[in-house]
Amino acid sequence: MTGKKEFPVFALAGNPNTGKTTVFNALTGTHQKIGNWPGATVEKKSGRLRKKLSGKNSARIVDLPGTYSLSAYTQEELIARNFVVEEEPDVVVDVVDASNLERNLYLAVQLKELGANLVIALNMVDIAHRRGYKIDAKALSELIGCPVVPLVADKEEGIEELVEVAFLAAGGKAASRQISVNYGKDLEGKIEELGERISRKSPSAAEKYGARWAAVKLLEKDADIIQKVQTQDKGICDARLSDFEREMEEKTGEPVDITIASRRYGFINGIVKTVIEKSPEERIIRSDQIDRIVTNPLLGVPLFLLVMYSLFQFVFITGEPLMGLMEAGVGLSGSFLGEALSASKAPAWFSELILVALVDGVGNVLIFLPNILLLFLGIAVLEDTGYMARAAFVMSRVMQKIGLHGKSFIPLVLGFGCNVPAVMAARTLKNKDDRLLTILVNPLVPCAARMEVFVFLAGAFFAPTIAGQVVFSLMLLSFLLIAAMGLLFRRFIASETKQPFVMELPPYHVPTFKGIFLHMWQRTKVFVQKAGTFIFLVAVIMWFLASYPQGAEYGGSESYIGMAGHMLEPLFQPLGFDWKGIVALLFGFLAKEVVISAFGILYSVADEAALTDTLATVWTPLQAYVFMAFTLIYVPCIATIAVIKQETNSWKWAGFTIFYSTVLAWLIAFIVLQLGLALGYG
Amino acid sequence: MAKVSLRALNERESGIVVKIDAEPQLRRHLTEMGFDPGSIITVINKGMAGLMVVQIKGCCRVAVSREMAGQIYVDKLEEEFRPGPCGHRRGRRGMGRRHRWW
Repeated sequence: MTGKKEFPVFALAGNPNTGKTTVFNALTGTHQKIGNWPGATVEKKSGRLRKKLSGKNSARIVDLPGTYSLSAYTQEELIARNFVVEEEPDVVVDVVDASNLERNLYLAVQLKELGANLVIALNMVDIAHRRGYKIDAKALSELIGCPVVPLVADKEEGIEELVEVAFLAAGGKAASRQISVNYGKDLEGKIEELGERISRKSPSAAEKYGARWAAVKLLEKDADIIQKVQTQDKGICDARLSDFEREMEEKTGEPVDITIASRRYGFINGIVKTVIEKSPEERIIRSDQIDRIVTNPLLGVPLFLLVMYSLFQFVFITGEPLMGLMEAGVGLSGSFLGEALSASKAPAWFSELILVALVDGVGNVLIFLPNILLLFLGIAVLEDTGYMARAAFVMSRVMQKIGLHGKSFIPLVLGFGCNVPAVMAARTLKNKDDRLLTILVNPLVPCAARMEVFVFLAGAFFAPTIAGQVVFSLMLLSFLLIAAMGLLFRRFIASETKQPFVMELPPYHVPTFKGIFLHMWQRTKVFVQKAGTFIFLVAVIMWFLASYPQGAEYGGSESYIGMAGHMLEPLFQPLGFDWKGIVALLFGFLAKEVVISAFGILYSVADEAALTDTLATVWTPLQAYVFMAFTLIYVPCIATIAVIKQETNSWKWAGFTIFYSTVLAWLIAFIVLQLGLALGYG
Repeated sequence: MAKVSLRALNERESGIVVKIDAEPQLRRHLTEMGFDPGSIITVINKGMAGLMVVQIKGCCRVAVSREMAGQIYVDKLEEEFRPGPCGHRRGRRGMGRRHRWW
């Protein structure tokens, strides 16, 4: 995508945990757009440069995913690489952690090799200094061939200089020169040979990536580049190439791609030795001492559970009164709206539509907003302090056993509150398969709304002494299903094989207020915007189905939804549900707690006590239990579906969730019924 | 020097990476992450069920599972990493004040 761009584009690259997000926040303020990369489950952030910083000029800032390299090992790496190659950002700002220079420069060197117009933001120089590092930024700039700007992004120190240098670089006025890693005599010969062949036979790849770079990538066995070159030059990976690779491996004792990576590190080592004037002696830092407790075999898990419990309590206890307020607000605006509508002589169908879709549909979800806000606040704190990485570490063994990642645990626990923010919390998982799996199993965690249904039905059908155990058994069922589905999905859906656990542990860090606030704000905004519109639409459809054809009682036997209930009856015969039960479940799609009020409408009883009595006459306790099991598993509510669609960026996975959960619900309900009958209940 | 898997190292012991015995993609990822042959690894914490925290590239802390550690081979170094008490450097040269840990 070339062509004339209105503003220069600055792309932010960098390793994970380098404070890239802080730099992004400092550059853009609140002018941020959060979404997904096209076709990917990876968060994309972009924004406009703050007015305060830009002066007359302006720029678009794109935050690339945090990566260690550009090797296309993960989806993130491929996204970052493709963006640099295809979108041709005017400047790539590589955020580098000053106390971790050697490892961070690996990406910088790769970006230089790729021909990016690079500016290095040497971040957290204060911490590096405190740790005892002394870095010569000028020498670094000369050796790596691009401007280097020292930075303390937390305190917004150096941000103005960074912007200034980036604009200079965009105008081609910054000091920049080509650098070239020497890969050794044998490899260099081959690289030249391959490069020539690529220029000759695959000119488009040569133009896009540069012949030398493409040649190095061929030797590194980069699947994406091999495929691109092969479309024009089928025979590039011929026997001669593999012979060469074998020879090299015999000679050096390691595969060619490892040699290349080592040489790159060798090149960096040379730079680092020159620019680091003083480095600290190795020592155990305070973070290590905290980790001794946090990752201790005996204390780690209890501590983690305590943290989770506190998060949960914080969200739901602090959220309770706020939710009450929201509820009152929604109720009030509902009645206000109702009066206004009846006063305005709007047609009855219109007022009804607005009240049902807006107040019952959207309003019901808005009530959860305080909880969602608080939840994201809590998660932001856990993430920004560095505890989240430890939590994943502590839980990794258990979660791996059921096909999930250590970090999946947090979204699962959050599901007990509401699946919507829980699905969004899966953003903390950086690997796309881990994230997808976590999202897919999440609806199996019974949310508060489903608990409400369980508590009501268990109370209606079982003696108080065993009602608690009934609900608990449903929780156990949920755990079992999560484990089973996790393993099943890992086996059949996740393309990547289960990876051994390797994860960087960033030093503990006191988060900035601004960082946490932005984190919370962005996620909440996404939820309200995207989920809101979808929920409104579905609520309108549900209202239509329940009130039409003309003259049908709302949700009654003659309405479309009632007809659907009748039509679906044969399917649910084996489970013993009649059409009323089915209609209640259909309403449950709107929001799970609606199941109870739907029964109220269907059996035309107003209060819950009367409903309890009525239900007790039509159902046996076994049937009630089967119904609860079905409610536990089947289709998550529309809000959850909306958010799954948004988070996976595909209708396919949203549709798949509806499909698999319903089929699973039917199967489990059937098994439960048969077991119950065989055991003589019912 | 003896070639052993990372698993054989105890806390505060170091080794030089010799080889990573994993499928090619993962092997390269680890190499690029800083486990390149020739670099020094130090075991900082050996924690739950064989999970360990190691230091690579002289600074950064990486958590590796037991399985992963079993696939990384190192030449064990004889000299043990003997850090001073937290916040102090061994020689107490330069700035003597305690460091903030974050």
